[in-house]
Amino acid sequence: MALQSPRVTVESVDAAHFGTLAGLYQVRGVPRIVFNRRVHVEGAVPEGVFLDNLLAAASAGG
Amino acid sequence: MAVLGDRDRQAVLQLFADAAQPVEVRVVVPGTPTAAERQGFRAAVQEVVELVPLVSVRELGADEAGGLVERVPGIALMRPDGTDLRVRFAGLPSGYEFSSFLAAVADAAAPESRLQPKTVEALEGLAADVHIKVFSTPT
Repeated sequence: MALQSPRVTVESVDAAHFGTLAGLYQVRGVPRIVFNRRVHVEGAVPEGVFLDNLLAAASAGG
Repeated sequence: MAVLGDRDRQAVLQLFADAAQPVEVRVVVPGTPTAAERQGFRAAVQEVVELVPLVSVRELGADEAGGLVERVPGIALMRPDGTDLRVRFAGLPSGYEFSSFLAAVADAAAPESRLQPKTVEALEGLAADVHIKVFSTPT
């Protein structure tokens, strides 16, 4: 989705290498996807669910 | 010695079969790069580059990367002209995550979006910035 919209950026994080960062984001299981530090979802979710969470994060004010 | 086996090479060729746009993989490494992890990643990416002419790789030291990535080692997907594709990797993908990395590069090289039309439409109407972090672990 980052490829499609200039408003979206994405960072894939190796939680094992960046353990401190993973701890800050309360990563207990992977994959864990966090949108604007506010909205999070665990697991590999379908595109529609991913989009819903992205839109929720955008609506929450970034 | 090749990193990718014959089956992997065929899978890469299939993944990038419709590649139409150039993608530059900018790899930012620490100042003293000696990790075997980095060497393995570098070797695998170089084999992909040899298979897919539209994909190139450029390695930068952290000092010369100009803040391109927040964390090192890290990767940024760009166009060769410097256009930022807003896709980053913190760490060097390995194992299953290397497949995810290749999928991201293939998406960037694709002639058009692979998203569903309603997703494209929703993104066009996005009124605020969204930064997404995807945490995973190498397997």
